[in-house]
Amino acid sequence: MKWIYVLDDSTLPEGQMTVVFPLGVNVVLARVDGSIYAISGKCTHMACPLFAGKLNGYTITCPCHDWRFDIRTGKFLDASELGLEVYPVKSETGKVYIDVKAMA
Amino acid sequence: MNKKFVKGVLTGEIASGGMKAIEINENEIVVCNNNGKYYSIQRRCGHMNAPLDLGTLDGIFLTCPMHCVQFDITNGDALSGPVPPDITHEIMSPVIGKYMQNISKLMEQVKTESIRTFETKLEDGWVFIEI
Repeated sequence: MKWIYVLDDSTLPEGQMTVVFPLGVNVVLARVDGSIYAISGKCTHMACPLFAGKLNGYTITCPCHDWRFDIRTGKFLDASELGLEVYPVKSETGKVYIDVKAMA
Repeated sequence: MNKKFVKGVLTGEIASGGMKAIEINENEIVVCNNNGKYYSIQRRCGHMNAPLDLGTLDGIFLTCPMHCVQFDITNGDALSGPVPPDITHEIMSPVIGKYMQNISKLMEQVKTESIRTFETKLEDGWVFIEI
C-alpha cells in the first residue's frame, strides 16, 4: 500500500463527486450513503473525464456517450467485463487517502 | 532566442497516465507520462483555454476537462472537437436558458486549434523541457 492524501473529508458532501489527481492521475471520488469510493476518472470507452458527467446514486454517467458505471465496482453497467479501475480509499482523522500502488 | 533544455519535474512525481502542470519562463506546460515516455504540451486547450492537466490522459490521447476536445500529446494535433452539453432535459430558469442560448450561438463559432508541444528528455530522474 502507498497512501497519498487527496482531500479533506469534510469537503465531499453526500451524493456528490469530485476529481483528484494523485501522481497526476485523474481519479473520481464520490460519497454515497456515507461511504467514499475512488474510481478511475477516465471512461473506458474514449477516456472522457467522468467528473464532467452525472452521478445518480451509485451510477456515474459519462458526458460523451452516456456510458454508465457502478462507482462501487467500476463495472460498466451494460457489459460487466468492461470497467474502470477502482482504487482503495480510506478516511482517517478527517483526511482522505488513496492507495496509488496500482499506479506505479 | 536560443532554446535550451530546462529542468521541469521529477519523473516520480507523475504516474503513467498522469499529468502535471508547471510554469517555465511564463510558459504554462503540462508534462505527460505515457508508460515511462514523457511529453510536454501547452497547458491551455486549443478550444476555450481550459487547463488540460485537469482532464484525462489515456495513452497518447489527452481529453480536455471542459468540452472533451481530444489531442495527440506527441504532436499537439486536435483530434476531435467539443462534445455538446447534455442540458436539454434539465429544468432551467428562463434567465439561464437565455444565457445558454447566447453561449451556444457563440460557441458554434469557436474554433479548435492544435496545441504547442515542447521537446522533452529525461536525465538523472528529471524531465527536461526545451524552451
